[in-house]
Amino acid sequence: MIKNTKILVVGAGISGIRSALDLAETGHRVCLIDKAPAMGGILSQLDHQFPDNHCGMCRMLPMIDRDNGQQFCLRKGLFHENIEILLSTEIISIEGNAGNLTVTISRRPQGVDPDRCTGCRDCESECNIEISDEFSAGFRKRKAIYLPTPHQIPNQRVIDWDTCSLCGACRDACPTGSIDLDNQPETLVLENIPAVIISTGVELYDPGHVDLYGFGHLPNVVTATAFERILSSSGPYQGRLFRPSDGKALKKIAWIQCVGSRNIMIGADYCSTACCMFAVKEALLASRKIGKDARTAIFYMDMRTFGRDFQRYKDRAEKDAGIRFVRCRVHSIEPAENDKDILISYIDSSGNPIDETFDMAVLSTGKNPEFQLPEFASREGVFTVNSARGFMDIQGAVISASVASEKAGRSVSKKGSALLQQRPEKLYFDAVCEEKPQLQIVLCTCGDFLKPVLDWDRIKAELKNMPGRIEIARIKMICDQNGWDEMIAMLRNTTANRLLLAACNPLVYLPRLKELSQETGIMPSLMEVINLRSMVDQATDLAFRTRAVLCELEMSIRRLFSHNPVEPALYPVSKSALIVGAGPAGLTAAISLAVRDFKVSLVEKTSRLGGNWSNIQSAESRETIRTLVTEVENHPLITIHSEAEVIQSFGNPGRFVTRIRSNNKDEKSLLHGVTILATGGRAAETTAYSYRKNNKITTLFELEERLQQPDFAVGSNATIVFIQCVDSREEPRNYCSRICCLKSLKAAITLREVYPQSQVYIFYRDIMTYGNSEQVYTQARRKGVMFIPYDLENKPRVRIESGRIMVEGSDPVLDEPVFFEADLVALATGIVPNPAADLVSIFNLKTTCDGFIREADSKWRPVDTGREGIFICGVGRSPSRANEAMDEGKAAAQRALRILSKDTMIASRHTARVRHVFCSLCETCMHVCPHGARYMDFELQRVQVDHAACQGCGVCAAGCPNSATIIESFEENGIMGAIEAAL
Amino acid sequence: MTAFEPKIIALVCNWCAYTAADLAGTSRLSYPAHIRMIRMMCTGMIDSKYILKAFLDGADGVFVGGCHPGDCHYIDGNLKAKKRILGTGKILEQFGFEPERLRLRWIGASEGPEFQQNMTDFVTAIKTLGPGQTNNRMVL
Amino acid sequence: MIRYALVKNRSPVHAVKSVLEKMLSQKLVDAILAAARNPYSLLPMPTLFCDPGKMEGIDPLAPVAPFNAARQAAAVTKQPTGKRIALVLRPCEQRALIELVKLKQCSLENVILIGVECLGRLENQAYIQHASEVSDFTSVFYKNPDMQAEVTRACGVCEQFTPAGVDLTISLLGAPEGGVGITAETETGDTLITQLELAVADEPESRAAAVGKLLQGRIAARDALFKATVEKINHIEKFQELIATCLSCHSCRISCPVCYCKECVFITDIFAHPPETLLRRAMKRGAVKLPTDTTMFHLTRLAHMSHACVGCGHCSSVCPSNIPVADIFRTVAAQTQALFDYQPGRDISEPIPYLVFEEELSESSV
Repeated sequence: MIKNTKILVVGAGISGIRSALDLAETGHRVCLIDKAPAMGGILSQLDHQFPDNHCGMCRMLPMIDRDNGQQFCLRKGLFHENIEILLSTEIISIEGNAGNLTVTISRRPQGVDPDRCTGCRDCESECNIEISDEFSAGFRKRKAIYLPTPHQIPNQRVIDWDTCSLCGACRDACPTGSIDLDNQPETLVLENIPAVIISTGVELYDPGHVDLYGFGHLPNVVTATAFERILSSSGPYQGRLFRPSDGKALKKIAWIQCVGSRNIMIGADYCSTACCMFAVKEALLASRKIGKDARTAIFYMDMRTFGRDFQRYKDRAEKDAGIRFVRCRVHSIEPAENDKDILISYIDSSGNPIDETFDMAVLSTGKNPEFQLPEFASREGVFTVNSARGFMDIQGAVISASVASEKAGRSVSKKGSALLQQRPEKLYFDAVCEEKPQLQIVLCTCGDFLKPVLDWDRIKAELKNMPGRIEIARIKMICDQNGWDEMIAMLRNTTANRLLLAACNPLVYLPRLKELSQETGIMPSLMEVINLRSMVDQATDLAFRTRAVLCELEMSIRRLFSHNPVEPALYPVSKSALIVGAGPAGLTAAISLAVRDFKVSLVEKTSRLGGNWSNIQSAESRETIRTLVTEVENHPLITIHSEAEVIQSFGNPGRFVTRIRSNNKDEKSLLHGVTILATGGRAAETTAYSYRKNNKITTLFELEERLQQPDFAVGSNATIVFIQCVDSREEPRNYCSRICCLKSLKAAITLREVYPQSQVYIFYRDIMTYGNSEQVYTQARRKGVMFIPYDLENKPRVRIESGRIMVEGSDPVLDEPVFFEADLVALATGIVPNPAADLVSIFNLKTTCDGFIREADSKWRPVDTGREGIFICGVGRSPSRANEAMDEGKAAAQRALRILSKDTMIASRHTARVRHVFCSLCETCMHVCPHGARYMDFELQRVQVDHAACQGCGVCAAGCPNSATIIESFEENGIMGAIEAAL
Repeated sequence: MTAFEPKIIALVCNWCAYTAADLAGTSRLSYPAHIRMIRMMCTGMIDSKYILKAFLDGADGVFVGGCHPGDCHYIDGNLKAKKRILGTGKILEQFGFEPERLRLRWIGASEGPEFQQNMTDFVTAIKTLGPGQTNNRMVL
Repeated sequence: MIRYALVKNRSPVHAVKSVLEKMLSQKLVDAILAAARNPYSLLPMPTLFCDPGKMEGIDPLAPVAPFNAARQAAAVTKQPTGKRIALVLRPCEQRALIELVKLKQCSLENVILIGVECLGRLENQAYIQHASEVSDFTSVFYKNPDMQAEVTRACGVCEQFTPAGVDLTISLLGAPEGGVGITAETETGDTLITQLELAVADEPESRAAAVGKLLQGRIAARDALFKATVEKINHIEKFQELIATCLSCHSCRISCPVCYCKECVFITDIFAHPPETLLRRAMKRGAVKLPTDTTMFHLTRLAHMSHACVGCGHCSSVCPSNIPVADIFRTVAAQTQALFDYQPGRDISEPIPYLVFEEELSESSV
């Protein structure tokens, strides 16, 4: 039995990583487990993600206290001091009560000892079992001993016990004896687990179950995940678009949407949310790779571009990349005449049956309807990330992961579980600056491997000629524990204050430098690791190889001698928050912080709290918000400033000063550690469709209000017309407002229920009922609501003829005009953000072209802004439903806790430093800094670096002509010295 | 006469190009050993002095590898680098350094094969161009 | 609308002096910075005037400039003083000043820019020689085309001799004998013309032709200089030869109006090599010339500042080794400025190339 105060996070995909980091960064210890032998979940298979086709996963890494984690690509794995990672591990059971759970886990041995494995692959060559490789979606074969992902660190192989025959060939082939064939799972009982977060993700639907798709027997019908591998340069065809059956270059590709989703027949009455955009992205990437011959088509029912930036992304795909969007339901996929090709039969929008041949069909598979969460997920003290309930895009997954960490953290703090004490880190060792630089080189000879392949006499002789005091030691193998211990013992006895580790993969050692520093007293920033092994592998002859190694050694020597760390000033954190906007998002954030004992100043421009709550139809949401308002009003730590606005703000994460003005006159300064902007939005105005020319033409919002009035009435035979996407999803307001479809559907259902004789028509472009709200769409269809699709070229028309309202449209199926006299027309006008120009300039942020406040990164840091310490949530950032806005409020609060939970802001290594004596105050650095981490100190007439916000990218240093700005560990003389040494 | 063995400096960003290099290494995708790689946190930190220094000290080519636009860990450091490199290349061109000797490429973290290809291509290109202007001498 | 006023006096020098004196005595400005001789030297120096009675030696038209006065102009406008200051500058000085404003080295708040049309300057010694031989050499210079041919090489290829983007321009080309033209380009300038009660007139017809002719000649000379210079620098070996006598005195950088660094990076620790490094260099290459980094210095300065080079030529004038630094800078700058479609000093709102970046994420690289 292991007593544990770690919060357990189950599932190490994007959500699990986010949750684990959220908690680790706020001082909790975390144990992150995954049943797979590698981290990353489905994202490890995707190189590019919508809606910008970029990666940027690394932006999830800690930005404050960066040194507690890694500073390299997250695909390599996750490394954080407070996070323990257990792979090939599953939960067997959870017992006990909230706050004190007993979790039984089962851990399968990986078969290969990472401390001894050198990654030589001999084991793999000897293994005679070959099966299809999951990571490559079956396009490649792998052995029973294999690398689960190509990029992970450490990159030793693991044994797949399900296929391994235990023949022992790998064990016998291993030169370092790292293989152990004992495959007995280890059962661990973890006690005193304060909370568990379930972030296992969902299972994807297996299209092999349905004949219609031909999946499984037609080799050129693949899933969207498999197509990602074809696109990837680490995929089966090195990123060239060949098709699996015959290696033919792909030109004509079809995507089939809603495979396994939105299908009541198989019990899938939900939308899998991300597949539409996923397909658009794949089609875009494929078109780009194929070039002008690309013919890509997406067969869909509704193109669910409901994210803020999705509609424009889709429009670009359609207009610029020529991707064809075909609204239809495909009824069969069969082999074509040339039976490698695929014949897709469908009914086009005019009702004509069409057979079309493609090189390949890609199935957009969603969540498997049979997928169910384990029973223990509903236990008290166990928190489930929404992305484990339904398929989600990255933004949704990241936000919902932070919501779960907020809930878990809150429950733990209630139970009084202590956070990790902030250790007064000794990052800077006082005497170093005065000491004469002295360097210890440790060369790992990789067992006996390096001995014969390098000219050691020459290396020894040459090192004598290199500048500075240098000692050199050879160790047989520092990657194994004996070698590591030997090195530490040696370093404890040296007077050296700099260390150069010449071994193999530096990424393996970088996360261990802090530990090494604590053991040896050498500062982590005065250590460097170089890859001796790869140099030796690349070069062919002894002399050339030796020269290359000497070059690399001298390069590092020059850099290490140029390092001159200076301790940066630290400052205390003000344990309070400023929240602007008291709508659902702002109120939620306020409560989240207040219950964790942080003071909150809530600034609201109107006289009442609750934002647009009167527009919210869901009784449940209304009640939630009503309760929130009461809770906020009564919370002793929350100060409400109503009819107030922000007029000025400056400062750094952890210590902002903001001036607010109340009732147009009283001014007040607030000191706060973080800022959360929840400025909200409002109903958009319109002049379309004869709005206001007749009181029977209303907006959807007005209709909702009228529906609640007791005197609301239309004739029992009334014809009621809803028009969706009014002025929306076309320029200039080219985004989906997310709320209108659901509102129209609900209103339509109500009307049909109250007036069963009425005719209710909804003119729509795409019904945006993502996730489980699809059920409302299903229900509306069942209730006899009629749906008429329209496109921008064929919008419905509303005319008023002598007081009568005539609505005209066209039925695409019959290809005939349709014509109603309407008794009521409801216009779904959507929402716009509240004007935020002033706030944006006060806080030095950016807006989108539609006026939403722009987040730092829409996928990976959705509630952060470009400035550390300032967060954003709710409709002010992006259209959202009330429950989504509240989730964002929680997520923003969770991000804010990273700062508020600290007593002092601690600078990380590799930050910028201004040498004021040289600085000419040209402010170039301030202008180019991507994190707003520099400011002018007018009092001292100095440009100052905010060491908490600075990420050490060095753009400032490159822009500074006279090196008044330097980046620690990347000093210019060191780099130029390295260049000199390299040549 | 011995064959021309070009001296090449590669300044690569920590997040993408370096990860790709690492992936190429662990995937045993070999590339010419003429390349001396210097890991930068971001291509945006590449000072024009580094490029000038490399050429004046006798480099036959300088390769800069950064993240694809949009992938930059620091948002747009790579685009800032692009501008600086354009400017520095223009100056070097005036002094007879062929523009082909300074190359900027975007290489994603999972693009190990691209890294290998880029390195091989660049070394081939430099070998075709022949020794650089400074011809392995230090111009001071 | 551009208003042209004609001021006539004994000589152009007196005409300019009368206008500037009037500006101070009528308290239209609190101070004027303009070139003036002092009792100790014939060489006019930038001088800050507050008393109209002390303006005896003022001569902003003098065909000489000991240095580019942008730095001095920046010194008096570095921080706001609440005083209204008129800066009388040559076009190259004024353009350099605009660059310094962009680099936050000074501000144009409460500043009146008066640009002087400039036919070029003589080297200091040549000017002193002439000025000691004739009285009112300035007026003589403007009448004598042979004298005008004696201007520095940088001035001989300068095609931006007419100020642009200033409040008031003092022009000589096309102005009748003994007179100068004063043109207002901005509202401030226009108001000043009214306040100074200057005689507004039509611009002399001859002016456009005179400007055009000079410009044509200058452009031809410039292109010839570019061609000749390219031949001298288009291989690093040739360039080495050209700068072989460089003493690394950094005079060129000290005289450069846009090299704004408090201390040049080449005199910081970044280039202060410890003896071990110098020995290592010598060991690797067999021999090393000291001081090192000479070529690096010139190329770095080009990388840092060529986009902002205003072509004033002071770097050449101050070089003790007669290295044609300005020729090199103008030739290279023509390329870098074209690359970024940037003209230094053209417009205060035009951002420095290295401060604006693509927003559109194209995949193209270099």
